[in-house]
Amino acid sequence: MTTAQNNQSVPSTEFQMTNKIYREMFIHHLTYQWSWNYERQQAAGCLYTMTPVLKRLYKDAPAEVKEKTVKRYLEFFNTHATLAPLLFGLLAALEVSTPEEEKDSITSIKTGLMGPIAGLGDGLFWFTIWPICASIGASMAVTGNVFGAIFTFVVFNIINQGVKWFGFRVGYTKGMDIINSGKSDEIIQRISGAATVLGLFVAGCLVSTTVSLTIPLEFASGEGTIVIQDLVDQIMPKLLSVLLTAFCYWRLKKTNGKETVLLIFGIMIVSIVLTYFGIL
Amino acid sequence: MLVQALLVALWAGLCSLDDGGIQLQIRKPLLAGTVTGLLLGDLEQGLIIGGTLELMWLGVNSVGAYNPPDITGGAIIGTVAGITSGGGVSVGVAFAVPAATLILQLVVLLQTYLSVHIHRAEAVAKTGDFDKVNRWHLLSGVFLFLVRAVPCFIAVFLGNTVLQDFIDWLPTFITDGLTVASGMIPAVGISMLLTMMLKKNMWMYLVAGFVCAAYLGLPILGVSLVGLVFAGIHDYNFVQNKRIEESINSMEVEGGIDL
Repeated sequence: MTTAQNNQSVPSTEFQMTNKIYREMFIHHLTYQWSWNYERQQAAGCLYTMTPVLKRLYKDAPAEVKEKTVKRYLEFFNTHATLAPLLFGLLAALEVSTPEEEKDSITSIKTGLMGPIAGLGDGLFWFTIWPICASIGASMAVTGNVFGAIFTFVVFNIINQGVKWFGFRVGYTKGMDIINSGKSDEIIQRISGAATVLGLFVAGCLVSTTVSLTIPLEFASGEGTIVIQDLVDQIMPKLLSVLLTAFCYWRLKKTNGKETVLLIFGIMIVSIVLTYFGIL
Repeated sequence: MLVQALLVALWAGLCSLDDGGIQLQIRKPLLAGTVTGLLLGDLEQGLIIGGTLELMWLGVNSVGAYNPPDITGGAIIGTVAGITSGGGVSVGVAFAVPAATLILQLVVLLQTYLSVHIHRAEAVAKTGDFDKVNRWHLLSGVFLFLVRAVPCFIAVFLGNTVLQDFIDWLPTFITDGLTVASGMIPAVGISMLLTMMLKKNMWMYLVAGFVCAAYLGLPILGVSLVGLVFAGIHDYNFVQNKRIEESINSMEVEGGIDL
């Protein structure tokens, strides 16, 4: 019964996933963040990576439909570059099997999964695998040993490029399995829920480990000195990092991410001014 | 000098494109510095300076929409300065830090400007021609290439005396202030992630992750494993609730039939 339903929902264009398409997606993905910008972030890279699929799928579609498709992929998008292929594979599977009038659901899946995947990827690649590979290689390199640089380059890239290469395939085939199981809504909700929990754990960890803000102010009081930072630490470790993150979150949530650049420049200016007065 | 300057600029541009997509991580100080040393004919110094900067900047990573100090440009210019001045690793590090901060400002400006390309791309979308739309994405690569190639070319061509003069001329509170800022700016990136992830009834996982790191001092892999446990529990509860919901629904249907 489910098969019959799925056959009905396939768009009219004949589409067959091939190794050639996977290869093209991989090559397009090598330019993924070239057009990274504060407003839409990876949006154009997202469209370019999906183009090998979209071009074939919409070969005979009228221009208005193509325009709608392009705009669907030019919406705000940001995730982890290395894990993104998994999501693109899934999106390709959804594109192929979703009828045109329900394509909006793809956008909601796309935006629902990008956050958790970003959190996971940052934690996994930039804060775990890279530091391990690079600290081994760099400690050899500082003694002038060229093997150190080669080690890091080879080991990290086997993992990094491998995850990208197979990501498209795994995303597409698993995505098709999910869709054909007839329970795609539930499975995608489950993946997104579990990934969000994991992503939030990593984000909580990052607040503590990557945001650094200390106050070097000291006051003389009688015999000893009062160090402001010690007082702050007694209340809660990393209190200032938490407050700063909460403030940024509040501004970004309120303005729908429009204040990103303003916040970054604001922090720079405030830091310079406060450093001048010796407060930071 | 001109040939070397062009070679280093080309390398800096390639590292820039790597940062934007290829992700071979030749953009990281270890590899960016090593190859720069090779181009200047001193592989060993390149390894030492690149390796030192890599260890120094190991924790410097982009999170969400946050750009860290530009470790790529910093490492290349630092290696150039360390080798051409003959001062080695200490001169290299001394140049790399302000250079990284300065090139970051150029990158931020570029990435603010590049949203123009997205609007152009959207404008040509009505033609329905995917290639025309994607042209704006690929054109951005040229800009990305130049944003690091040009400063690195200038650094090698004009030599480190000009750089030294410029850095000496900069008041220390500006460079110190920017260093302080680079510790604070990750908060923007994390917040950006949170605006995408933080849903109702999910905030406690964020608190738990923070507690694991800040109070218990767990490294990120440990935090992720604890997170995995909670993700499993969350998923189990989700499935159970779904089943209960389904059985309630079917009971209602049966009840309806009975009536």
